[in-house]
Amino acid sequence: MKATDRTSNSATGFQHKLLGILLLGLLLRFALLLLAMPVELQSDEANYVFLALGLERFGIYFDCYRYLWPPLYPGFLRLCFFLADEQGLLLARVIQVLSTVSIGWSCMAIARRLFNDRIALVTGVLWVLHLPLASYSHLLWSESLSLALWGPALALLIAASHDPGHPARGLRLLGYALLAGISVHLKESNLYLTPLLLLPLAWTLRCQGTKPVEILRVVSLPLLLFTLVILPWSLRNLEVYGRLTVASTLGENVYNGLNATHRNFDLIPVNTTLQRQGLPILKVREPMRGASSTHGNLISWPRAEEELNLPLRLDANRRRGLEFAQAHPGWFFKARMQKLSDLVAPVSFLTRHLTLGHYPSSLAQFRVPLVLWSLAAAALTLLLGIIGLAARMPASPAAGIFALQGAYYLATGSLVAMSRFRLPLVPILLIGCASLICLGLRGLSLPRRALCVAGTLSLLALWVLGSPTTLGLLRAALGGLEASP
Amino acid sequence: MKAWRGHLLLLVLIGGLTGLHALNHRNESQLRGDLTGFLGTSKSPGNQLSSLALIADLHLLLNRPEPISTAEGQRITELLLASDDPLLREYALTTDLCRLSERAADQIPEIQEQRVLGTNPLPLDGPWWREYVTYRRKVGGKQVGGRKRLDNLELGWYRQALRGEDPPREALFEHLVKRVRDAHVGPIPRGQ
Repeated sequence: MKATDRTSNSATGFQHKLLGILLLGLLLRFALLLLAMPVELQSDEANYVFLALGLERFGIYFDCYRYLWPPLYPGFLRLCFFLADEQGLLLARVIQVLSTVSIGWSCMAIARRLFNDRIALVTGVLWVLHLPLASYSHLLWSESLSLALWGPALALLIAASHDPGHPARGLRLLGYALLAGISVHLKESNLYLTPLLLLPLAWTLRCQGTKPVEILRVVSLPLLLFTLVILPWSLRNLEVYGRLTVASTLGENVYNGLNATHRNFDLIPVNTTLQRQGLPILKVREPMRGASSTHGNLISWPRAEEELNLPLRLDANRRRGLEFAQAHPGWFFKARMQKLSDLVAPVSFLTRHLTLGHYPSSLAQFRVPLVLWSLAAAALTLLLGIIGLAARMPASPAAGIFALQGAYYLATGSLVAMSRFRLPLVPILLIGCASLICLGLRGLSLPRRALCVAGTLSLLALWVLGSPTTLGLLRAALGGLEASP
Repeated sequence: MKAWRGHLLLLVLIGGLTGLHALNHRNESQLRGDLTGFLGTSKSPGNQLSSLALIADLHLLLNRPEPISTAEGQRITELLLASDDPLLREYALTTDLCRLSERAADQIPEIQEQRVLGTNPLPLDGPWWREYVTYRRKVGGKQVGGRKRLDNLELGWYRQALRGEDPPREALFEHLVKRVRDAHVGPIPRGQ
């Protein structure tokens, strides 16, 4: 009885601490929202708002000519306009802040399942303090809501994969498929990842001697539900564009990613402002430029503007991109390195907004501490997270899930990269950080040590590669460009 | 077999949705048939279909892979712009029709550009502001008429215009002049 009481007390204590951390996270995010208002709309934020207005005014969902974005985020904004008219965007931001509880909870739930209560609570504290992630709760990108669905989806999948004999396995997998499917309507990037992440579960079942037909039965059920969730939107696209597509951003991303120059949206808006102010723009290292002594002057391939149908136009762009990559293999390889460096650069959209003067003085007055805090959060999460995962991640299905997710986002990031695109990896990295803080590096096996060294060196090499632009962006953020002459 | 009940249920739902889509699908000639009242010579497009239904049908017709010629696109644009209904006039300024428009020298859609910015002085009232936002603040670049993105102030005025109010003329004019002055000039500075 005493042992049971102790367990019960410990569980209650953990729940209280978990709730306290979630509350703290909410308070910080609401404080940020309060100080950030009225934050100016920036690039994609304005695009999402425009699509929402189109839905409201014409009752139809327009494509973006170069993209077909998933419909749920503009639909969410349209609903907020319906509910609160001019205060619609404020309502959207408040809902987003509230939804971040789901991200914090899922980070802690995964860490607890993989490690223990202490690491789960440290993960929670790190989630509270991760300023770049927190800032997305008041920005109008779909990242925050998407992660609020994807986090619990991942927690359910890991629970199902760790304990395949549990009676709730089927429900957990259905929950995974449902949440992942809805999140694809917010941000399509998880479209191919969702089925892929079922592989570790299939592998675990195979290792346990489960018959192939049974494995097929277990894995196919969430896949069917996932298909059902994305089907209505796909059928709508078949009706409108004549193509059964979920979303079409690949063609434009190939245009931006496999071309003679590439786009990093941490850099371009800052450079645009620098250019407007007559100041020298920030440049990547000379050998990584399309116009360089190594590559001569690569000519960018043009978009397939002659194709009027959107999926056909994006297909043509994709083909052109692949042909360009085949014709310039050296450039292709170098550009991937630059993009990976952009992906892990310790900058964020919070620092970008501070640089460009999109925040009012209520928040911008804390510019220097906010930039330093963001920099520390981004850099330490990457460095300690990678070391922690390499050193302390238990050999389990979750290790396979994390590895697949990491590889997937590195692959997508090597096409188009910026700090925003590493956001889906932040929860995993926070868990890695917490495990390193709590367990340290003692007693590691040789392969684990080698993995830690390889991960650290790779990250440092990418930071050195990207240092000219990263340092320039941080200097601009600390000074603020709006105040410049 | 009991263990596969969930699969069967989901397959039935998937099949049902697909079947429903197949039943409701309209090919190009059916769409044209439904739009006869509008695509004919009638100058009152709202006679047979409500404006929203007409827009929904046009949206399908204009985005399908079957090529719509720019000549036909322009004819539809002109029909919409000649309408009494402000909603249809605004629809003529969307991506659906701007991408089919005749191009001016700098690739911008000529008919829509003339419609929104071709008068002097500019009306600067609520209906005009809705048209301006629909045309100039769209996503997709200058090929479809998009220049600059919507900002907070403009959004507020747009919400007012949706309620039938006019934006403040002087403030609007000054704001637009400022945005033109701040417009980015030259190639995108990618740092490469």
